Amino acid sequence: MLKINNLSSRYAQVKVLNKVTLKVKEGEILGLLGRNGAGKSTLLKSIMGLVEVVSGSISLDENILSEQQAHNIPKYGIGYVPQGRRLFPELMVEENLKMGLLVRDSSTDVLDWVLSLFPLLKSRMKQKSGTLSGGEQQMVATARALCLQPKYLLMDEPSEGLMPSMTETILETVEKLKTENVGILLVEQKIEGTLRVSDRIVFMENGSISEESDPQKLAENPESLMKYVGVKARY
Amino acid sequence: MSTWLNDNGPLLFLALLDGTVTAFVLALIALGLSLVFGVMRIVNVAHGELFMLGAVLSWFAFDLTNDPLWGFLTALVLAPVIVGSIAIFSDRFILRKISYHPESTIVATIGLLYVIQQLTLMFFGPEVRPVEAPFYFRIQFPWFGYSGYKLLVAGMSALCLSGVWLLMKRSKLGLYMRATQQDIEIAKTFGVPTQKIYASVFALGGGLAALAGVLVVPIRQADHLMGLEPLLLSFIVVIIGGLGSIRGTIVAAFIIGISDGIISVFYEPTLAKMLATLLVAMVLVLKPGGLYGEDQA
Repeated sequence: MLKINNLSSRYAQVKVLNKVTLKVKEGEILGLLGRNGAGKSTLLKSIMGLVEVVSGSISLDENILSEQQAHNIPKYGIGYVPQGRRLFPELMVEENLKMGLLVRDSSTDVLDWVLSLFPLLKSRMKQKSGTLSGGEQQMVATARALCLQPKYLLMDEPSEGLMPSMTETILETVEKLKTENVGILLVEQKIEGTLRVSDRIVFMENGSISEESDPQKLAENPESLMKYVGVKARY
Repeated sequence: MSTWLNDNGPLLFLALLDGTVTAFVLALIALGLSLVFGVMRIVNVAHGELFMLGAVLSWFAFDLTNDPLWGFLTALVLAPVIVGSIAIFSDRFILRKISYHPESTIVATIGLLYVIQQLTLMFFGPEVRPVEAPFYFRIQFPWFGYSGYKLLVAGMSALCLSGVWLLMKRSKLGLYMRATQQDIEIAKTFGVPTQKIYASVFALGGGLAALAGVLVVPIRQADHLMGLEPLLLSFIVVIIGGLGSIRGTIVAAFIIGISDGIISVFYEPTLAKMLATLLVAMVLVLKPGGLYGEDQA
């Protein structure tokens, strides 16, 4: 289980997360919602060791991740799909995927499995990833993280800037990963899809966890959505 | 035109040969600077001193073995290792301490330049010392004979450049270096030990410069001030070629090396340097990222 216990983080001297406590089970999809600046992305970056942890801890099973250097964290099986894709633009698609495969010395079977999720990428392997369309880049970003055979996948706004059909492809992949027992921490702005695929929803505000809710209940009674995300429509 | 060629053909051929040798050596020195510039985003002002150290260590090896061939072979192995180790030490205890901050590293490497230069002056002395070439043979062309050692220098430089290209394109270390160059934060999230990569790049850059020093010293002698000119020429090459680009570095080194050879033979060496500087200015105005930019390593 991925446990975040009383975590406070900061950028330089600015405290961004304040005593965040959260648990994600294997095979569980946790939707993380909140307004811009609520601390969602910072939470994911803190788990990946990219933001300085001031106090509290992050652990995966028996391993304390918050005591590790950033480059050791993915070796425990934590995959990261960053906001804005952030592929290595001058590397070919196959080299981007190789970056994922190398983390835990994954076999070519893993690559075959990943490519079965995104068959379009088979024809793009020799293409520089910076020349792909936004949707294709998102596929590579997700595929790259899956190549390290993650136990947990942290996805930061994977549907950002994508057309609806591509968003649907990403969400379907998320659902497939659940059946593979991958735990997912999903930060999203597209509420409807997030409610559909998530097992639990957590709202963040000003760097803290404000409320935890059931997606079904939120769909029926969206008051919390109004309060924390500013969405008026009923889902 | 044909009359000009008949009169000046041999001279032009000589200029092309000299220019090619200069280009290969320059590419070797500049590639180290370019990799450091491209991957670590720092300007290593002490790069020329690492070249000088290679030449000086070659003299020590020659002095120790008292045999040109053994001295050359010893220096060929030891100089890049020693200079690479100095680079790793400098990375660990200087550059990392100042978090690779771009402006601070310029000042720090200027300091490193003076430390290396003055220590060399203390132990090596102010003299200009010759180092014998490991062997003498001449390649006979229709108009003149040409130093076989110089051609060997060009060949070995080409071999080293190919080696670096293979390292960057075909090895895990090269992949990690390119990934770190493009996005250091995301590289970390894929298990890349970026501090070790930085140390490796700095050591590789220093090692290449030292290797160039070992190769060049039988042609031009060793002294503690010999690092300045290659440093300036390397900056010119890196700016024209583009940061971190192997292809750009080689192309730019050939532009500078060949034009330097031809203009120096037919006109004035000073004019060659002036034109090279003018070319840098033009590149900075028209294509600030260099001919190949940092994206075509």
